[in-house]
Amino acid sequence: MKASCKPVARRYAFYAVMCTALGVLGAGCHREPKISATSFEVHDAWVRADPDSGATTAGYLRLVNGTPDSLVVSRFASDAARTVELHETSIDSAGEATMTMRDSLVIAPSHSVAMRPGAYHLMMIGTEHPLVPGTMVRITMHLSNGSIVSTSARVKS
Amino acid sequence: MLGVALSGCKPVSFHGTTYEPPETAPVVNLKTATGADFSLANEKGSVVLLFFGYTHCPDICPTTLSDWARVKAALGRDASRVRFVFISVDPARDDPATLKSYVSRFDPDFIGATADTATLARIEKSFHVESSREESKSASGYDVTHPSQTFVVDRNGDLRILYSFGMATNDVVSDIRQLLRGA
Repeated sequence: MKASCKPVARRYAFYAVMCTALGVLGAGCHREPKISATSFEVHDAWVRADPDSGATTAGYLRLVNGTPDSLVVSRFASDAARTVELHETSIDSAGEATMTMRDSLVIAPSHSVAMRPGAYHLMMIGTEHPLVPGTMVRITMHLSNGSIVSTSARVKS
Repeated sequence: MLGVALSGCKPVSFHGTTYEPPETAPVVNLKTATGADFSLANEKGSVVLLFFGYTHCPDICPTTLSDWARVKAALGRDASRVRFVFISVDPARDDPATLKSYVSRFDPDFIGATADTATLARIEKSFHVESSREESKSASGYDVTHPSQTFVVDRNGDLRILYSFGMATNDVVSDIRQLLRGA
């Protein structure tokens, strides 16, 4: 499926920003230095199911920066949750898990950042309705260059 | 002949980190999400999986409980001899109704349980782990640093296996089946 893209930024009009969301959980979920994309792409977006409205759940996706410039995602939003925050889970050598809120996500040129359980994730706070497996929700990314990128994320258990 | 004899002495091999030798599991007395008492000592005869988490946790905890749900499904009828116990280390927010709703999302047979903070601290210390409240600017309020592992207690009440976060379903199922056979 295609993610909708609203490139309002001036300079990125040159980069033919193309966003795709495959809706499939990907492998190799960490910073990946080698990519072949020539644009900003969103892949593998999914959200964990939650039958309760008003609850907190998590979303995951992979962002690929194929442009020659660093991209900064300064804000995330969704039609499925009141608030969406970027958090990073880290697990120390003793197995203790700590979650840290991040203000933004910087993706270097020709790099990607993959969110996955136990690492970067979108904390979706105050779900607007029950999130049923198989349905789709919208996740929107606001880039510091003014672009707004939107993708569909599949709800999975 | 010798080969047959030796095959009967094959050492037990698990996929998770093994307690060698097995340790008597600590005393764990909790109040479940339905208001019942839970005592680990009363679960002898069953294999028990234990995890310390909290319901506002969006990442590690639901991932682990989803893994557990896959393990339980793969165990089939053997699952009736396995207990899955989610211990909330955030009793201030995890009241019985919240806890019950949370664990039921993953499987209605999962046990959600908690205790007062002093009891929880004692239990965690006996497992050589700890949790702590971390202030956060998140709209969800504070976070809780907590253990990410799953502890496995065998049918005799001994700690046998420790799984790191992200365990493979098939490996866990294989290990649990060994424990159910008396390994």
